Amino acid sequence: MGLSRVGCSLLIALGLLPMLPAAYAQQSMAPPGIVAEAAISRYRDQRLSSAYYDPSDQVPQLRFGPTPQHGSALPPKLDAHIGVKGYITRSCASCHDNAIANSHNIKSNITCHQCHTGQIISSSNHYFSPMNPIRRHAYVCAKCHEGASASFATYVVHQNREITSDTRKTFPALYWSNAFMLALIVGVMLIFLLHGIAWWIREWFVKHRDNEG
Amino acid sequence: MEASVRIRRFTGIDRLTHIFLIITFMILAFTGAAQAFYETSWGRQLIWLMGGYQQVKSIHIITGWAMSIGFIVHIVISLSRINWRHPWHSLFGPDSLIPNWRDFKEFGQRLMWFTGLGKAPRFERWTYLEKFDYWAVFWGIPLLFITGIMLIYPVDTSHLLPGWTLNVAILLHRAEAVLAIVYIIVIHLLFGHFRRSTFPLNDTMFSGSAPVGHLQDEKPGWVARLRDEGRLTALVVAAPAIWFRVLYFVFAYAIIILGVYLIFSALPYSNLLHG
Repeated sequence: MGLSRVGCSLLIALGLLPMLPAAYAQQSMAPPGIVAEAAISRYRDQRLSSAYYDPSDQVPQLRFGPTPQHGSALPPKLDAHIGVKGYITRSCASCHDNAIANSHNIKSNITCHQCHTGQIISSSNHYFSPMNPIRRHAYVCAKCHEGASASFATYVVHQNREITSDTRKTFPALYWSNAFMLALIVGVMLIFLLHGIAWWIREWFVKHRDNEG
Repeated sequence: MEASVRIRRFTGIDRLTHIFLIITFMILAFTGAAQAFYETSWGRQLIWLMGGYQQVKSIHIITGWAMSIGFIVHIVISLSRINWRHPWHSLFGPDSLIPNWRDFKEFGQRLMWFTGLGKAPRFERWTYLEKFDYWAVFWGIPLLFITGIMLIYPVDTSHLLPGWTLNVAILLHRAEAVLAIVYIIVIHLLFGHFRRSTFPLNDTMFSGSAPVGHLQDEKPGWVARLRDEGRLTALVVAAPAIWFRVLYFVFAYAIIILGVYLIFSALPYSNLLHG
């Protein structure tokens, strides 16, 4: 049941995809459906923007960084939530329950829709998505972080717990930094706690310190 | 020489540096904990006490700069103290804080003493633990400084490094702070002051001097060397005034109580595995 629904929505999304270029090429043409119609007005800016990069926008390369978060094998969807039952009335956190605990939300009360804007949320690797790495720094981050670059946008807002095996695969730098610091803290504290306790006990039983030498 | 006669152990500038470090450390610990525990009721109380999130952040940043500048000043002072006529002796002699083979030997001797298998080591001027405490700062402050600068200027950092290094910077900054706070409060303060030979307060770093009888027990090698070189009497200083003793006693206990409060308040909200 659930699978067939997902399959259906995929088919619909896939079926819509080939129609989109035609729809954009001829705006006078009647849009094929409500989704595409919303997309035309919604993504006008993106469609007109040149995806021009400033040389300073080049992302400095460093190994062991996060793999792109939405590197889904599925083709990008214009409406990522198509077919989700009761989508209009549900909150984002009712499905994305891990996404709510991020510092943007906790410390600055930024709501989901302040970054994930619009009536329809596209897959972030969809060409027209504001979250597409080619433009998310300008369309999303720079709304608050003045001068945000494409490199800046590689900051992982929805960060997983550091210690999971998932993080080891998707963000090795974070996983191993955490493992190193954890080992350091546990190691140092274990050595010096045992040392301190032994010292404390030993000193308690010293009667004549001078004779102990 | 009577056991209660006091011998100078730290210069005025060292004591001042230490007090500066205590004050900046505690401000950073509390403003940092308030930010790290922002989503908990305790964190919100701290934020409220210190005048709101933005103010806590500003205090943290300004104090961080102050601590870093103090650290650099300390390095300059330390370099100026090296005797360049005898650099080897100055750097690796018994008056130097640089670790050497002797420290490992004394650590082993002390472990034997703990278990009753050997005599206590005859420590020189600095024990291995004092050296560790000293050098831990040289690992901690640079790491906290670099990650702190990255987090103060995230957009500029992202031009030099990929933006995801900020995720790593937050983690390192927080983990190093946890290590520093837990180590300082549990090992440096509790085990430092609450042992039989030091209770109620090891005041050497505040008064700058220690009774020669106490040093004879703790650092017999140093006292013997001073005696051999005939420098012991030159280092005799007057006992600190009573008002000064009261002052540093109250100060030290205020810091110990604040530190223990910090750890025990944070503990229920901490999830070690969550970083």
